Amino acid sequence: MKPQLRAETHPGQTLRIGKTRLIPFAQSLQITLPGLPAGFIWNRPVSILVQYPDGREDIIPIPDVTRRIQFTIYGIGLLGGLFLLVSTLNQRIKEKNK
Amino acid sequence: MNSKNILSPDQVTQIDPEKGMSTMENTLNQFISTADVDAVYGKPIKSGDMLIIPTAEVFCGMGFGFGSGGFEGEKPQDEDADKPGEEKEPSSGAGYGSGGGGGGYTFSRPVALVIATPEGVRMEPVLDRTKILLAALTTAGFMFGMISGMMKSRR
Repeated sequence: MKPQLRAETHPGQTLRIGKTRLIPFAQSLQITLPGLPAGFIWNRPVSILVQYPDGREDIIPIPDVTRRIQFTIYGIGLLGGLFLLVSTLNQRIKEKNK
Repeated sequence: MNSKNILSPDQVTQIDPEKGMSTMENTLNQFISTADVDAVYGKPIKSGDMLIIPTAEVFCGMGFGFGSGGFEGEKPQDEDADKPGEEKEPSSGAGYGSGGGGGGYTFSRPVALVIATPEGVRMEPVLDRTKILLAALTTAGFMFGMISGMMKSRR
Protein backbone atom coordinates (compact mmCIF):
# COMPACT_ATOMS: atom_id res chain seq x y z
CA MET A 1 0.00 0.00 0.00
CA LYS A 2 1.34 3.40 -0.98
CA PRO A 3 1.02 6.52 1.13
CA GLN A 4 -1.59 8.90 -0.21
CA LEU A 5 -0.48 12.32 -1.27
CA ARG A 6 -3.02 15.03 -1.98
CA ALA A 7 -2.27 18.59 -3.02
CA GLU A 8 -5.15 21.06 -3.24
CA THR A 9 -5.64 24.79 -3.60
CA HIS A 10 -8.45 26.28 -1.54
CA PRO A 11 -9.96 29.76 -1.71
CA GLY A 12 -10.42 31.52 1.58
CA GLN A 13 -13.02 33.96 2.79
CA THR A 14 -13.54 36.95 0.48
CA LEU A 15 -12.49 40.27 2.00
CA ARG A 16 -13.54 43.73 0.94
CA ILE A 17 -11.74 47.01 1.12
CA GLY A 18 -13.92 49.71 -0.34
CA LYS A 19 -15.22 48.25 -3.59
CA THR A 20 -12.15 46.06 -4.09
CA ARG A 21 -12.55 42.35 -3.35
CA LEU A 22 -9.70 40.17 -2.11
CA ILE A 23 -9.82 36.39 -2.39
CA PRO A 24 -6.93 34.60 -0.65
CA PHE A 25 -5.76 31.20 -1.88
CA ALA A 26 -3.93 28.58 0.16
CA GLN A 27 -2.31 25.35 -0.94
CA SER A 28 -2.48 22.26 1.20
CA LEU A 29 -0.45 19.09 0.97
CA GLN A 30 -1.84 16.10 2.82
CA ILE A 31 0.05 12.88 3.31
CA THR A 32 -1.79 9.99 4.91
CA LEU A 33 -0.36 6.60 5.63
CA PRO A 34 -2.82 3.88 4.65
CA GLY A 35 -3.61 1.39 7.36
CA LEU A 36 -2.28 3.75 9.98
CA PRO A 37 -4.21 6.57 11.62
CA ALA A 38 -1.40 9.01 10.96
CA GLY A 39 -0.72 11.83 8.58
CA PHE A 40 0.79 15.20 7.83
CA ILE A 41 -0.78 18.41 6.57
CA TRP A 42 1.16 21.35 5.26
CA ASN A 43 -0.74 24.51 4.41
CA ARG A 44 0.82 27.60 2.92
CA PRO A 45 -0.45 30.83 1.45
CA VAL A 46 -0.14 30.98 -2.34
CA SER A 47 -1.65 34.16 -3.72
CA ILE A 48 -4.35 36.77 -3.44
CA LEU A 49 -6.78 37.49 -6.21
CA VAL A 50 -7.67 41.19 -6.30
CA GLN A 51 -10.86 42.16 -8.09
CA TYR A 52 -11.04 45.90 -8.72
CA PRO A 53 -14.39 47.73 -9.13
CA ASP A 54 -13.66 48.32 -12.85
CA GLY A 55 -13.57 44.55 -13.42
CA ARG A 56 -9.77 44.30 -13.55
CA GLU A 57 -8.24 41.29 -11.80
CA ASP A 58 -4.77 40.90 -10.36
CA ILE A 59 -3.10 37.86 -8.89
CA ILE A 60 -0.53 38.80 -6.27
CA PRO A 61 1.73 35.89 -5.31
CA ILE A 62 2.82 35.56 -1.68
CA PRO A 63 6.56 34.87 -1.67
CA ASP A 64 8.13 32.98 1.21
CA VAL A 65 11.36 34.96 1.38
CA THR A 66 12.71 33.11 4.44
CA ARG A 67 12.39 29.75 2.66
CA ARG A 68 13.99 31.09 -0.51
CA ILE A 69 16.98 32.44 1.42
CA GLN A 70 17.24 29.15 3.37
CA PHE A 71 17.26 27.06 0.17
CA THR A 72 19.76 29.43 -1.47
CA ILE A 73 22.14 29.06 1.48
CA TYR A 74 21.76 25.25 1.47
CA GLY A 75 22.23 25.22 -2.31
CA ILE A 76 25.42 27.28 -2.06
CA GLY A 77 26.69 24.89 0.63
CA LEU A 78 25.95 21.81 -1.47
CA LEU A 79 27.47 23.29 -4.62
CA GLY A 80 30.53 24.42 -2.66
CA GLY A 81 30.91 20.95 -1.16
CA LEU A 82 30.55 19.35 -4.58
CA PHE A 83 33.13 21.74 -6.06
CA LEU A 84 35.59 20.95 -3.25
CA LEU A 85 35.06 17.22 -3.73
CA VAL A 86 35.59 17.37 -7.50
CA SER A 87 38.69 19.59 -7.19
CA THR A 88 40.24 17.28 -4.58
CA LEU A 89 39.55 14.20 -6.71
CA ASN A 90 41.08 15.96 -9.73
CA GLN A 91 44.20 16.79 -7.75
CA ARG A 92 44.55 13.22 -6.55
CA ILE A 93 44.25 11.89 -10.09
CA LYS A 94 46.91 14.36 -11.24
CA GLU A 95 49.24 13.33 -8.38
CA LYS A 96 48.80 9.65 -9.24
CA ASN A 97 49.56 10.27 -12.92
CA LYS A 98 52.82 12.11 -12.08
CA MET B 1 5.94 -13.68 36.58
CA ASN B 2 4.24 -12.31 39.65
CA SER B 3 0.64 -13.44 39.87
CA LYS B 4 -0.22 -10.32 41.92
CA ASN B 5 0.13 -8.19 38.77
CA ILE B 6 -2.61 -10.01 36.94
CA LEU B 7 -5.92 -8.18 37.16
CA SER B 8 -9.19 -9.96 37.31
CA PRO B 9 -11.70 -9.11 34.54
CA ASP B 10 -13.83 -7.04 36.92
CA GLN B 11 -10.79 -4.93 37.82
CA VAL B 12 -10.14 -4.04 34.20
CA THR B 13 -12.02 -1.04 32.85
CA GLN B 14 -13.22 -1.92 29.42
CA ILE B 15 -12.92 0.71 26.69
CA ASP B 16 -15.61 0.64 24.09
CA PRO B 17 -13.68 0.35 20.79
CA GLU B 18 -16.34 2.34 18.92
CA LYS B 19 -16.15 5.13 21.45
CA GLY B 20 -12.38 5.07 21.24
CA MET B 21 -12.48 5.28 17.46
CA SER B 22 -14.94 8.18 17.51
CA THR B 23 -12.75 10.03 20.02
CA MET B 24 -9.76 9.52 17.74
CA GLU B 25 -11.77 10.67 14.73
CA ASN B 26 -12.84 13.82 16.56
CA THR B 27 -9.27 14.56 17.57
CA LEU B 28 -8.13 13.94 14.00
CA ASN B 29 -10.78 16.35 12.66
CA GLN B 30 -9.78 18.97 15.21
CA PHE B 31 -6.19 18.57 14.15
CA ILE B 32 -7.07 18.88 10.46
CA SER B 33 -9.02 22.08 11.20
CA THR B 34 -5.89 23.63 12.70
CA ALA B 35 -4.29 23.45 9.26
CA ASP B 36 -7.27 25.06 7.54
CA VAL B 37 -7.20 28.02 5.09
CA ASP B 38 -8.45 30.21 7.93
CA ALA B 39 -5.34 29.24 9.87
CA VAL B 40 -3.13 30.29 6.95
CA TYR B 41 -4.77 33.71 6.63
CA GLY B 42 -5.16 35.37 9.98
CA LYS B 43 -7.90 37.69 11.11
CA PRO B 44 -7.67 40.92 9.08
CA ILE B 45 -6.65 44.00 11.04
CA LYS B 46 -8.29 47.25 9.96
CA SER B 47 -6.42 50.48 10.49
CA GLY B 48 -8.18 53.44 8.89
CA ASP B 49 -8.39 52.74 5.17
CA MET B 50 -5.77 50.05 5.46
CA LEU B 51 -6.47 46.33 5.82
CA ILE B 52 -3.62 44.14 7.06
CA ILE B 53 -3.89 40.37 6.59
CA PRO B 54 -1.22 38.25 8.29
CA THR B 55 -0.31 35.04 6.48
CA ALA B 56 1.45 31.99 7.86
CA GLU B 57 2.36 28.49 6.84
CA VAL B 58 0.93 25.77 9.04
CA PHE B 59 2.37 22.30 9.38
CA CYS B 60 0.56 19.61 11.27
CA GLY B 61 1.55 16.00 11.91
CA MET B 62 -0.32 13.42 13.89
CA GLY B 63 -0.52 9.75 14.68
CA PHE B 64 -2.70 7.46 16.73
CA GLY B 65 -2.57 3.93 17.94
CA PHE B 66 -5.15 1.62 19.36
CA GLY B 67 -4.70 -1.85 20.68
CA SER B 68 -6.17 -4.49 22.90
CA GLY B 69 -4.83 -7.53 24.61
CA GLY B 70 -6.27 -10.48 26.40
CA PHE B 71 -5.62 -13.32 28.72
CA GLU B 72 -7.97 -16.19 29.17
CA GLY B 73 -7.15 -19.07 31.40
CA GLU B 74 -6.21 -19.74 34.97
CA LYS B 75 -3.82 -17.68 37.07
CA PRO B 76 -0.61 -19.51 37.91
CA GLN B 77 -1.00 -20.94 41.39
CA ASP B 78 2.68 -21.31 42.10
CA GLU B 79 5.11 -18.41 41.80
CA ASP B 80 7.93 -20.86 41.02
CA ALA B 81 6.01 -22.24 38.07
CA ASP B 82 8.01 -20.09 35.65
CA LYS B 83 11.32 -21.66 36.70
CA PRO B 84 12.91 -23.73 33.97
CA GLY B 85 12.75 -27.46 34.34
CA GLU B 86 9.62 -27.36 36.46
CA GLU B 87 6.26 -28.24 35.13
CA LYS B 88 3.82 -25.37 35.01
CA GLU B 89 0.55 -25.67 36.80
CA PRO B 90 -2.59 -25.00 34.84
CA SER B 91 -3.77 -21.41 35.37
CA SER B 92 -7.27 -20.03 35.53
CA GLY B 93 -8.84 -16.59 35.14
CA ALA B 94 -9.37 -14.11 32.37
CA GLY B 95 -7.88 -10.70 31.87
CA TYR B 96 -8.08 -8.43 28.92
CA GLY B 97 -7.82 -4.77 28.24
CA SER B 98 -7.54 -2.21 25.54
CA GLY B 99 -5.95 1.15 25.17
CA GLY B 100 -5.05 3.86 22.79
CA GLY B 101 -2.72 6.74 22.44
CA GLY B 102 -1.69 9.40 20.07
CA GLY B 103 0.42 12.39 19.50
CA GLY B 104 0.69 15.34 17.24
CA TYR B 105 2.61 18.43 16.39
CA THR B 106 1.44 21.72 14.94
CA PHE B 107 3.85 24.33 13.75
CA SER B 108 3.13 27.76 12.35
CA ARG B 109 5.45 30.37 10.86
CA PRO B 110 4.56 33.85 9.61
CA VAL B 111 5.24 34.27 5.89
CA ALA B 112 4.08 37.74 4.87
CA LEU B 113 1.72 40.58 5.54
CA VAL B 114 -0.81 41.55 2.90
CA ILE B 115 -1.45 45.27 3.06
CA ALA B 116 -4.54 46.36 1.18
CA THR B 117 -5.42 50.01 0.66
CA PRO B 118 -7.93 51.60 -1.70
CA GLU B 119 -4.93 52.45 -3.93
CA GLY B 120 -3.76 48.87 -4.24
CA VAL B 121 -2.52 45.71 -2.58
CA ARG B 122 1.10 45.08 -1.62
CA MET B 123 3.05 42.38 0.16
CA GLU B 124 5.47 42.77 3.05
CA PRO B 125 7.49 39.58 3.54
CA VAL B 126 8.29 38.48 7.09
CA LEU B 127 11.94 37.48 7.50
CA ASP B 128 12.69 34.78 10.06
CA ARG B 129 16.24 35.78 10.95
CA THR B 130 16.73 32.82 13.32
CA LYS B 131 15.99 30.31 10.56
CA ILE B 132 18.30 32.10 8.14
CA LEU B 133 21.08 32.24 10.72
CA LEU B 134 20.63 28.54 11.50
CA ALA B 135 20.82 27.70 7.78
CA ALA B 136 23.98 29.79 7.44
CA LEU B 137 25.59 28.14 10.48
CA THR B 138 24.66 24.64 9.24
CA THR B 139 26.16 25.38 5.82
CA ALA B 140 29.28 26.93 7.37
CA GLY B 141 29.69 23.86 9.59
CA PHE B 142 29.27 21.54 6.62
CA MET B 143 31.82 23.47 4.56
CA PHE B 144 34.28 23.62 7.47
CA GLY B 145 33.92 19.85 7.98
CA MET B 146 34.54 19.16 4.31
CA ILE B 147 37.58 21.45 4.07
CA SER B 148 39.17 20.09 7.26
CA GLY B 149 38.53 16.52 6.08
CA MET B 150 40.27 17.24 2.80
CA MET B 151 43.22 18.94 4.52
CA LYS B 152 43.66 15.86 6.73
CA SER B 153 43.55 13.47 3.79
CA ARG B 154 46.23 15.51 1.98
CA ARG B 155 48.61 15.09 4.91
